[in-house]
Amino acid sequence: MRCVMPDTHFYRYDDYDRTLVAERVEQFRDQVRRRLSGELTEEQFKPLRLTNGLYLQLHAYMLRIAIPYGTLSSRQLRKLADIARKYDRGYGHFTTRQNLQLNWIKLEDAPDALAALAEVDMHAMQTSGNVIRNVTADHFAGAALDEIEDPRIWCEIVRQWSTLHPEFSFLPRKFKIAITGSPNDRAAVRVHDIGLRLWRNEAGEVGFEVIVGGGLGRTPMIGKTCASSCPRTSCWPISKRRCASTTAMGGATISTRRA
Amino acid sequence: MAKNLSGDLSVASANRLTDGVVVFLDDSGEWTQRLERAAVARDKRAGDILLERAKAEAFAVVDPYLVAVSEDDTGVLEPLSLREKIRVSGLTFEAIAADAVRYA
Repeated sequence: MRCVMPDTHFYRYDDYDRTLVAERVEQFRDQVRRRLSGELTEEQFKPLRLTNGLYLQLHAYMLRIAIPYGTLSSRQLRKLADIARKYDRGYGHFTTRQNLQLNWIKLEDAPDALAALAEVDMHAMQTSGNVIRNVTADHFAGAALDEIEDPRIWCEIVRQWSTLHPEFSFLPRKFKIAITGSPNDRAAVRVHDIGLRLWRNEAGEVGFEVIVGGGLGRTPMIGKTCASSCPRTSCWPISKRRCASTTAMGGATISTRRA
Repeated sequence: MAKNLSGDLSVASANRLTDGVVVFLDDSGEWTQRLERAAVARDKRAGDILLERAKAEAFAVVDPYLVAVSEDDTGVLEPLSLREKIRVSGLTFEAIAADAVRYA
């Protein structure tokens, strides 16, 4: 997890981003209202809350907040603390995939928590459910001595492309992508559905190794390299086909099938 | 102390809609956080009826279902499965932390 000053923050929301997130908060506020009033059944509401990162666990609801590629500004970190104090028990749990979980949130407070997140350009979209999840990166991205290129540029491209993408909003299974800019795999790209590792050849050209089919969970799998030296310009078409093949194969990956 | 471990005994449980807290259906049709107040079904047919009652009272809870329990001579109920024991007794890390302190 990296915390950076606001003036060096990697990506700034534009009006389009802010409108999208704000509209989503208001949609969810109305969905929660209808659930609490009985207009929506749990069967109808469950997929709606899951797409907004809200789980129901053994003892309470849990809100999983996306921290794209693990980068936070100090302003965002302070807001997370404020949300945890106001709507939870004053603490949260940072996950291995660079999200933050609040484990004691109340259903009626969830829309207000999301609205507070939106104030600092954050959200909980696609942190649960069978969608493309938060894109993760090396936690030393931008500061690592062995880094070929900052991977967060590519993470941001993937984030923008995958957010609310209709083709990948109803996948048979969750789908995880990680990108590293270093030869040392601190982003654990080999245990992701798609792992991208930046490399530089002898001519000084930068490209990607594309790794597919990795995963953890009940049946851990080390991903297989499907393209060892892919130019940057053709990397993403390969990865998109990979996502699409997952949809077509009912959750199975090309090289592996998890229980 | 003898326990009825037959698996025939059950209570109806769910999570409260507003905050997810674990609750049980009592004899008066109210949802309570206290297992000892739960209505107990003593055979399969009674369990089916209890579950129907729970579903009918499910406005303020999420997905009611039957939990198999044991009962000792004094009437103390305990879930049979580990998952349900954890739901009733609360967070496991508090017990683990207490053990860690005890054996440090």
